[in-house]
Amino acid sequence: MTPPAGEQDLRARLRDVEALLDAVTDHAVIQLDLDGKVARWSAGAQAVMGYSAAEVLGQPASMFYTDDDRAAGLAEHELATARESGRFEFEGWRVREGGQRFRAGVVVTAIRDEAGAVTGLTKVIRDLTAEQQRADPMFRGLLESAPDAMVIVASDGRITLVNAQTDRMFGYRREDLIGREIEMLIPPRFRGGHERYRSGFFADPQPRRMGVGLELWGLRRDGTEFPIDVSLSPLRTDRGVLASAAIRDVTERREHEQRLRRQHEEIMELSTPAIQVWDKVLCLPVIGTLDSARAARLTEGLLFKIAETQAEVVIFDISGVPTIDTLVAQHLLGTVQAAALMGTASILCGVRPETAQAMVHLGIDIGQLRSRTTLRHALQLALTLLAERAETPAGVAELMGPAGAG
Amino acid sequence: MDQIADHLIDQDAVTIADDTALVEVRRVLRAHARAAGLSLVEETKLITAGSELARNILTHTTDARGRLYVEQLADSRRRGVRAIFTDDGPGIDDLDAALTDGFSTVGSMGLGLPGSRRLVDEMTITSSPGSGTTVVIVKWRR
Amino acid sequence: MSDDLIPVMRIADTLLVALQGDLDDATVIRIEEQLTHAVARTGAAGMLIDVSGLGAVDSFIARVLARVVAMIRLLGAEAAIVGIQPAVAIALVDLGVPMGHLHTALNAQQGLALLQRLRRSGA
Repeated sequence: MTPPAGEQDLRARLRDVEALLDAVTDHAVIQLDLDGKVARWSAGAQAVMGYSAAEVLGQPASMFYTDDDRAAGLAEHELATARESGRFEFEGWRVREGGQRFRAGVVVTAIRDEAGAVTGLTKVIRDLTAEQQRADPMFRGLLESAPDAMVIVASDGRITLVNAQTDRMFGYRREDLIGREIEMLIPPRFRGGHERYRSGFFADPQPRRMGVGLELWGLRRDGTEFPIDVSLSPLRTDRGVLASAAIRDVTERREHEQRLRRQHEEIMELSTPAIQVWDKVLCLPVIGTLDSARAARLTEGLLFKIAETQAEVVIFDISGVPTIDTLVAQHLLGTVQAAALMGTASILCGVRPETAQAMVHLGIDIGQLRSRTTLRHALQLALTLLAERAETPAGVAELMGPAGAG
Repeated sequence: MDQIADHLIDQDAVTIADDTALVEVRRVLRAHARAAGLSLVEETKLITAGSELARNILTHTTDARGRLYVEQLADSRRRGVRAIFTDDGPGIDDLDAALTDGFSTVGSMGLGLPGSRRLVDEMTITSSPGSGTTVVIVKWRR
Repeated sequence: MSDDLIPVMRIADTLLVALQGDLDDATVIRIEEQLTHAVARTGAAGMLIDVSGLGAVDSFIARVLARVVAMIRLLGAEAAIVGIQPAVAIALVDLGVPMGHLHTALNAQQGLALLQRLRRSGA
């Protein structure tokens, strides 16, 4: 910039400088006094930060920081560093008017007078979020068109970029997510672990599926949780490594898996317990302890098997039950009752002398339930019962008319 | 129950004013049981308990009206059905006695509350003389 | 005299009826009347009530069934309930309705054998 020919008009020079500064619209150029308060505010500063000069002149620069950073005294720390070293360049988060957070590239230079003393600081702020968006429209396009929710996270754990799917999946507006910690999207009980996981990723950034073998959960804005699948890949930029996360809502898939697992369990349960030892005779070996859940499963399996095999006698072999207490007896008798409703007679076998003693002691009354010591005796009794029940040929069936003929 | 993040997917209401309502009660419970994916045995238990509780309202309240609200339940682990039976009848005098097997006021089965309790996973009763009764039952899919 | 709500089949001297679907209380009562009348009218020695079509049996139906059986006994005949489904059996036990005095069988075939047995033993 050349001074007007022959003239040393300071005011004119100042005007030129200001005009130069105001011509820069995509960088905020701010001058701070020694106390860190705003002394000069360019047109670019207004464009980037949103505030007019009147609103900021005389205000401390810490007003442009996030609440957390301000509380941590970050503004003072950065200014002190700049004063000492003469020039300081760093990245951080700033907040423009209206509360919107953005990633900022900041250069602070000390202003010195002819004697070399520091009289103030010049701060140049670049909006990196906006730059990133402008610089690679294809990347932005890819991000927006991705079927999964895409979240780009910086090494400090803050969200730098999201796509529309993320907004939809988690129920937030984009503005509410940028600059916040990624952990806000997962349930509180997982946050500590996730932070540690995060540092691990940035220490050795490799593409990977997150938490293989674990069940991952996402947290929506309304507080509801849902199962997710997360794939991570490192994004190398000129400002370092970012983490790119593709998040998928796998509620349906999880339910499907659970359904399959349950069916499998049910098949296992139903097919094992009751054994057909004879035509129309089932044997149910009861092994181990019987809690109500297990008793319910055994009962269901037995009754379905009775229907399937048209069984008329069931032998409950309890030689494998260590102790018969009142609860186990209750479950057993309940099962016997249910089988009786289906017309099935029950026989108990495998009652050891100690068990018999315990049962009498506890006042357990097995009522009409027949008991034999061994399975062989129980089977003999079963065959006798079947012989008693043997059917004789049925007569011809007729449909009766209203008059009730016949 | 406040801990569970409820997803109200579907809600149904039935007015219990006479015994034709019982068929509707059973129909609605069956539909919800199927929607929640309950097994056949779980469904049958839910319907049986619901029929008993609805029947209570008819038997023990003369002019009072009763209502049934049924909704799907889902938390982070499982799905189920919640049914709420309310009436503005005379209320239950002795809740403890009513919850004991063998208790009988009207008819041969009393209030059938212990039986209903055994059929479902959770049951909550709020009642006092003069201020009606609310019975909430929950059946989860195993 | 009640109308015939459900068809009644006859096998030798045994009547066979089937209850199905979801029946409202009034219909159940009318069916009860129909059955009692049918036994009285025909002088049948036995009746089988097939409930395999009932998805749920609550205390009311259980009481009615018990009543029908008792009435039929008073008429000098014997009755049995057949076809209680597994889920229904489990629910009935949980419900705690006393059903011990009822004769039950898996199906009509076993039910007929049961009625014959009861008659042989002079019930």
